[in-house]
Amino acid sequence: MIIGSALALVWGLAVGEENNQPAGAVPAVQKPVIDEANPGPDVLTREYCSACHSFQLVQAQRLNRATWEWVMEDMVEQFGAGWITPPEQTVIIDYLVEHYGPEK
Amino acid sequence: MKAFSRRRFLTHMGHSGAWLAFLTACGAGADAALKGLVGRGLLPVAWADDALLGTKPGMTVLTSQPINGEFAPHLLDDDMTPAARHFVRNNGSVPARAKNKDPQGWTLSIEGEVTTPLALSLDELQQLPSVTQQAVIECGGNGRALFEPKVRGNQWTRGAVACSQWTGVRLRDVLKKAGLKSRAVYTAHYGEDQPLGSAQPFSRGIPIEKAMDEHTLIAYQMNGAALPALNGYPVRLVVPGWIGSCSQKWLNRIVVRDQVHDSQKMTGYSYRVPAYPVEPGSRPPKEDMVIATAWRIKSLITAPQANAQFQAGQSITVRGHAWAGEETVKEVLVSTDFGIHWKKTMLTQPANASAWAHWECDLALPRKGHYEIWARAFDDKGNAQPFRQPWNPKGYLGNVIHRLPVLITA
Ligand code: HEC
Repeated sequence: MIIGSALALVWGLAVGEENNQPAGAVPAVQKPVIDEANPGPDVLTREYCSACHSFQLVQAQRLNRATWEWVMEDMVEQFGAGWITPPEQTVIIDYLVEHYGPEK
Repeated sequence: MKAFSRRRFLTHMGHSGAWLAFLTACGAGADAALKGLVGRGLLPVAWADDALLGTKPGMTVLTSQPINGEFAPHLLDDDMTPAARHFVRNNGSVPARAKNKDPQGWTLSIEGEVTTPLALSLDELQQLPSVTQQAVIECGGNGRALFEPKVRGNQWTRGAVACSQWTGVRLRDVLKKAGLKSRAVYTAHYGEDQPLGSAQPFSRGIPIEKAMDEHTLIAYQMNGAALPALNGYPVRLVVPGWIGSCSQKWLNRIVVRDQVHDSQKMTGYSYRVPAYPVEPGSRPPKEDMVIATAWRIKSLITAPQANAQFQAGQSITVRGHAWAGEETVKEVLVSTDFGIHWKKTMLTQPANASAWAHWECDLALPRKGHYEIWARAFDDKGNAQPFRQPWNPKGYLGNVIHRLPVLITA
């Protein structure tokens, strides 16, 4: 199992002038490249969900499906993880619910 | 601290042993995994914040990218919190200027609904009349880990609060210098930290009335020294009594607005609570969410340490702090029998209006056993801390009573 995950970083103009934002270069984090034909849900989740912040943040959560869906929606729609495709989102959400779901 | 975070991390790793096996196969240490790509040097230097963790010995690190960390209650025993024990809540990366302690080129600009926009250098700011005061700063999410059902976000327990001494200029003096137009209703704060991903730059604001409050400061010193890199060098806001996100770190720009500030961190569910009590686990519509502002009555037990052991009959000094947002602490009671009996504590008034008060009492537990010490604070308006945490979807403003386990041996 080898992941030579390289993360291409593009420093682009991601944020505009709305809300009195200062114009300027804001780093856009691009989709991590996974050197593996069919990465499992664990690999997918860890690689994608640690691209912008520590995976610790994810591991500390104990959330139900509705809340994980809500988190995913924010990552994708507001924070720049729009490159997680809908099928990938489904796989990741299932994985998150199974491993970081509410304590029984 | 490193050891602790690793232990904590490995505990969580229990959820995905396969991943650990994989890492070992790759020859990567757990810490490298923890940092993901960042740790493998594939993210820009902007992310090399780890070295700064050394400035906060004893901190429980929740995340290292961005740095978020709190202190166990017994480490917050000081009346005035040392800089090294002030919690860290970062939404993005620490600016290079703060890491290098380099004031060169920094200015604070005041723009928007003002007659004379300003751009003040650090020297110019420091020449204005200064004020020194202690102030409680508390992350709006402090106590989130105690919400049931669990809510999303950094899982702060009780230690994302501190009361240090701040020196700076009254925000109102600077706003008056710039001349507020009559349309001015709200501030919008900006700092030099870079957000994660393509999030908007972290920005929040406060109503003009709060900005003009004499205790709201633009601070350039903490406990008599320049601000630490992790706490906002060179300059931050200190907005006493209100959730910590109002006290923008690495501040370099204030825009006075003619409407309530509408950045990402002001709208939707960010730093907002439902306007009415909601069913735990539910999510009310956006329109029913209101901006979280002032903290409510709260207390912390800083001695003894959790799970401390004493002998039956031995005198135990119980003490801590209490604070009440914009109100005044009136009294703190403690119980060792799950709230059946309460004992008054001796209250020492805060150093100044925006600081926390201190309380203390001696008690003895005559029989062996496992006990909980409970502390419950009351403010001068008749408000007390709740026994159960009222719920909101993002876990803000948690002020449930502090319950501290102790063991009494025969
Ligand atoms: C493109 C960048 C990016 C990616 C990729 C990303 N996040 Fe985030 N995430 C953010 C930002 C920005 C925040 C808000 C940080 C702050 O303000 O403290 C955040 C915060 C969070 C939080 C806590 C705060 C909250 O709002 O609840 C959780 C939990 C989280 N992310 C989970 C995930 C998961 C799960 C994934 C993988 C599906 C993921 N993130 C991928 C950018 C990202």
